[in-house]
Amino acid sequence: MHTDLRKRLAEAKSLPTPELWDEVTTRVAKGVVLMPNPHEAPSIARRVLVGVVAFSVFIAAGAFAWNTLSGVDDGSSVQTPAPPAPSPTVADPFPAAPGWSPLATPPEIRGGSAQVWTGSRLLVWGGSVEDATRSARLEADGLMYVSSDDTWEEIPRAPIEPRSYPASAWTGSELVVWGGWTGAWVGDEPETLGDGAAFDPVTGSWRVLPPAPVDARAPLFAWTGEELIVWGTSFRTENRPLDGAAYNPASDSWRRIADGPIELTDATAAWTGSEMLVFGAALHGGNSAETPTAIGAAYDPVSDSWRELPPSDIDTNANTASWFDGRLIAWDYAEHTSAYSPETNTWTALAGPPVDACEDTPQAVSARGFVFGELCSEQVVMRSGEDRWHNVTRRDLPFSPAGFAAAGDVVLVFAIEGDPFTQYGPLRMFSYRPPSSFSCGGFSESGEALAAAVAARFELLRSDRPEVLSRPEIDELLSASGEAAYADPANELVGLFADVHVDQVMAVRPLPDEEGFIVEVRMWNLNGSGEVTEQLILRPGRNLAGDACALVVADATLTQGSLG
Amino acid sequence: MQIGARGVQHAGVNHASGRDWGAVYLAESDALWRALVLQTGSREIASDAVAEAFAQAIARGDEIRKPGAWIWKAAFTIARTEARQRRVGTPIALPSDPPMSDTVVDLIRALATLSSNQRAATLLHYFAGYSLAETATILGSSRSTVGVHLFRARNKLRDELGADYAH
Repeated sequence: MHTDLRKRLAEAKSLPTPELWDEVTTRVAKGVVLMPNPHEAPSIARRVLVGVVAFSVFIAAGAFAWNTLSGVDDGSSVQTPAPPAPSPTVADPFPAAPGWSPLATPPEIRGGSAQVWTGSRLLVWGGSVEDATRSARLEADGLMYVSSDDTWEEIPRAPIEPRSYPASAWTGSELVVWGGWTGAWVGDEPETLGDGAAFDPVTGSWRVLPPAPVDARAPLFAWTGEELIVWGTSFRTENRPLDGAAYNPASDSWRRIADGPIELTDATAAWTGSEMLVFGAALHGGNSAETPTAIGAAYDPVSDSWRELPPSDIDTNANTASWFDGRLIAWDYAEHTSAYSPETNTWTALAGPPVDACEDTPQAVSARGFVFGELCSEQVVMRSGEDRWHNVTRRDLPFSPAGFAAAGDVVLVFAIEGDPFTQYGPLRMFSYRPPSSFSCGGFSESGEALAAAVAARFELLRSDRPEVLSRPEIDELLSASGEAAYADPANELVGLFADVHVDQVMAVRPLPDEEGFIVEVRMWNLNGSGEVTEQLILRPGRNLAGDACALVVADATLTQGSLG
Repeated sequence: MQIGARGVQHAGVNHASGRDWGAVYLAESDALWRALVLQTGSREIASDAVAEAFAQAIARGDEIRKPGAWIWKAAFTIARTEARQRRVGTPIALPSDPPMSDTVVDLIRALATLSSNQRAATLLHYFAGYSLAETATILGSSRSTVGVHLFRARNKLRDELGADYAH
C-alpha cells in the first residue's frame, strides 16, 4: 500500500552521505582494536554478507509489498471465513471460560496458508514459513490441530507445488485447495498456479483435482455447501479477471460460471447461504481506487447470474467483510462499519470499531455467535444481536497476535512471543471466547490494583491520544520487579495498559473531591538527562467501546523534569 | 556527545566480537543517515547519531542479536533527543551545504509538518521498510500507536505533497 509515498521518500537517496567510519572507530573506547574501513576494498566474505543483508532486505521489502499490495496480512488469518462445516460437528471442544485459553503450541505459523475448520480439527496447508533470517519458504505439506487431544499432527505433502493464498474449503470430508501464488513475480504480475488437490484427513491421502476451466490465479473464493467457487483475483494486479469457475467434489468436476460485473483487487468473499458476495475495491499499484467507496457484487449459483450491490460508505483502501447474522459486516481502517442486508439490498451504517484509524488492513472471521476482527494488533468483537463492536482487552495474552481462524464457537489466535526482531521464536496458540458482558473489557480494578499495574510497568490503558501518551525513551528502562509484577497472573494486568511505559510509581492518592486517583510515575529517558514524572488522573469513565469502567485514564500530564 | 549512564554501562565490552561491523556499516549507514536528516533536518545531528549508534553497538558486541535494527533504534533515539535539546526538531532545519535538490527540499518541508513521532514512524516504515511491529519496537511504542501515526501522517503528507502523491 502507498507505494507513491515510498517513491517520494526514495528521492532522498540523492542525498550524498558522509564517511563516518573513522568517527565510529574513534568513538569506540580508546585503545581498542580498530576495525578495517568498510569502504576500502571489502573482502569477499564481506561482500557476501552485504549481499545477504541486501537480499534479506529485498525479501522483506518484497514480503511487505506483497502484503500491502495484495491487502492480506502476513499472518495466517483466512481471507474468506469458511461457513460452519456441514458435517461432522462435535461438542465444543474448547475451554468454556471466556477470554483467552492457552492451547497446544503450533509447530510454526504459515503465512498465506489454507485454513479450514472441520468441526473438530483445524487443517492448515501450504503457505510460507519465515525463519530467523527472514527468508520465506513455501510449503506443500500442512499441519492439523486436533482439538479433542489438543495436539498438532502433520499433513503429508500434497501432489502439487508449494504455494500461498490458495482457494480452500472443507467439504465435510476433504480439504480442497486450488490456485495460489508461487511467491515469484513475472514483471509486475504475480506468478500464480491453476491446479488443485483434495486431502482426506481420515485416510491421510491426497488426490489431484481435474483441470479447471479458468486461468491460474489466487482467487476470491467461497464454499457453498456443494461447490467451491473461485472468481476474480485477490491480488492488486493489472490483470483482473472477471471469470470464475465452480468445483463440485461430489462429481469431481468443474463448471464455468458467468462473468462478474465488476473488477476487484482488494476484496473479500463470503457465502450467504444462497449467494457469494464479493466486496472491496479495484486499486492500482499506486493505491488509487477507481470508485469513491468500496463496491460489491453477488453471484447466485442457481441462476448462474450476478447482481451489483448498492454503493457502500466503506473506504476503498483497506477493508474487510464477514458474513454474520444475515448481514455482511464490512469495516475499514478509517473507523467505518456498515452492514449489508441482501434481504433489503441496503447498507446500514453502524458505529465504527473502537480502534483508532490505523495504517493497516483489517482482518476478520465469523465464528458462531460473533465476528472477531483485528486492526493494528487491536482486536474487536461484534456479538450476535448487536450493532456495535467491543474492544477485546488482551488480558493474559502477552504476545503479538499473528493470525487467527474461526473454529466453531471460538477463534483460534496464533501468537508470537518476544520482540519482533526475534519474532520467529516461541509461538503460542489460544482459543478466544467472548465474555457474556463487555463491561469495561471485563476488568474492574481498585485503586490499589491499578497502582500496582502502573508500578508494574506499564502501558497505559488505551487512549485516543497516543501522540500525547507515547514515551519511547522509557521502553528500555523497565524495572525487573515491575516486569515480575506485570507477569504475575494473580495481578491480572496483562494487556490492561498501552502506550506509556513507566519505571516506578512515586505516589498514589485519591482525587480530592471525586472518585478516582492521582498516580505519579517516574520515568527515565535513554539519554540519562531526563528524569520525568508523569501524573496520571484515573477516574470512573467509559472506555473507547463505550463500556463503563471502574477506572480509566482521564489525563496524563508531564509534571516535572524534561524529556530533553 | 554523552549518552548517559545507562547508555555507556557496557562500553568497552565485547567490542572485539566476531561480528563484521564493517559489513553492518555498509548495509545500514547510508539509509540511516538519510533518514535521520529527514527526521531532524540536520546533517550534524544525523552524523553524530549514526557514529554514536555504531560505536555503542560495537561496544556491546554479541549482546546485540539484530545489529541493524538495534542501530536504527539507538540512532533515532539519540537524534531525536539531540534535536529536542537543540530545539531543531520541529520545524526541521533545512540543510543547505551542499545544496539539495528541489524535490528533496519539498520532501523535507512536507515531513516538517508532521509531529516527531509521525515523522519517525513514516521514515522507519515507508523509507527504511520496517514493519509496523518493528517500527513500534524501534520507537518504543505499540503497533497500534505506530499505525495511528502513519495514518495521520499519510493524510497530512497527501495535503502537503498534493497531486504528485495522490494516495
